[in-house]
Amino acid sequence: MTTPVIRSSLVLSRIPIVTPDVPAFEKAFYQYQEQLERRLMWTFPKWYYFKKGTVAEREFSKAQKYPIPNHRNVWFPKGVPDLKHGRDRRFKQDIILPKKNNDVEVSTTTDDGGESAASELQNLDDIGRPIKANSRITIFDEKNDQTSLERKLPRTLYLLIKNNNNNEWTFPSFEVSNDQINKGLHNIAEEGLRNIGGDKINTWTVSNTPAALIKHNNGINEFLIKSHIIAGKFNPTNKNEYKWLTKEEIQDIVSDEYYSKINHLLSQ
Amino acid sequence: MFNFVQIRGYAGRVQIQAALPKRPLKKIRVGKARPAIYYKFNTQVELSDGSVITRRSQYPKDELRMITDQRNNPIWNASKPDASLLDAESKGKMNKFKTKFSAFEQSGKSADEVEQETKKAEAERLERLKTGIPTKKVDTEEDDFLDLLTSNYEEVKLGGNIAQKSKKKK
Repeated sequence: MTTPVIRSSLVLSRIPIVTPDVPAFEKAFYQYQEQLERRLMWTFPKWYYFKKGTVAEREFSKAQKYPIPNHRNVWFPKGVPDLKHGRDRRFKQDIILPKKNNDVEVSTTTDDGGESAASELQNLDDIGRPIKANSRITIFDEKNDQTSLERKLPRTLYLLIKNNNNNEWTFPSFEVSNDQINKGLHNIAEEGLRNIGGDKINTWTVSNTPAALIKHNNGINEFLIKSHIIAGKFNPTNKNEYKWLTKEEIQDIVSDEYYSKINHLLSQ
Repeated sequence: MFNFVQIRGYAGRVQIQAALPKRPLKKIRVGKARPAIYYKFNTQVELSDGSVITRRSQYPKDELRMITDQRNNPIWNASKPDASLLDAESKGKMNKFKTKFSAFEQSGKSADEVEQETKKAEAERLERLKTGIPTKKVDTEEDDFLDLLTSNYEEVKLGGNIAQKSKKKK
């Protein structure tokens, strides 16, 4: 009888880059709370942030929309305004901040499609360029490029590799030979990853203790080591097929038996 | 101490007080009836690596651009050797000043000399970004006679306390 073979596998994950997607119900809830808080907010203390008689104060005052004050002999169909510090206290206060007028430059440069890229580069040098939130959906999401690390930003991605022998997708798995037995499972997994994926990758292994053990029918004990990618990328040296996948995508691609054993290790 | 509403009498019957004990008096002044909720803006903050986050702030500004923050601080970005704090200086006020007034510094120099200096400065900057160690200036590099000013100077040391207030008796 041969001794059971030990394998060391690496559960390499890319942690989420942006905040998780908010479901529609929660979005509505947060919006409601936000509006409630806006209504309960005190009047903006203009006198505290803007000194009287300064340019900033004048620009700020100019940008505001002031409500109509109460007047005798005037009928207000929506109720009598209750003004204090230029704010109608019956409603929430809307402060409009004065915009810097650099919109003119943008409109002139974006006439041609070719020039826009150049102007964008030029804009990067300009400290006063307007701030735009980046898209949560990247070009790799649109192309559905599953080998990219810049996809599914709010989700945790895991590295899966196609085995050349049986065409099955699994975590990168490495045999532990008898002379390596004292090396430590985590070291073997890390080294193996660099053998198949190049050394242009920076990973952080959580622990030298395996996160799980899969007992295969053929007597192989597969230990799973958890690790995170910090920098660099997985660049296969021997044309191995690889994918960075979320939990649902992993369920679609791996065998049911394998998934039932790794299911609890994957983050939603 | 607790004030029990239920009081057990000697016969074991439960007596219930006619009225609840009075609430301790605390005057609620005008405008203190609810917690202070200050006016807050939703500010978009662009971090040094280009990522944008929204945060709430009382300061009247809806856009903030950080030059140095957690994304280019070498302490928190050990895995990014190029994301050094030193790179921030290329966007800061000092660099702006230099680009504006560097012409004055180069007055009285030939074009070759100026070119050499800029090349050297750029090489030093790259070296600094790579290693994180600023290049040391050689003494002979700049002879600006500044050290002459301090050559024979001795610091004047006065004995005792010269600036002590004398207490006046009333």
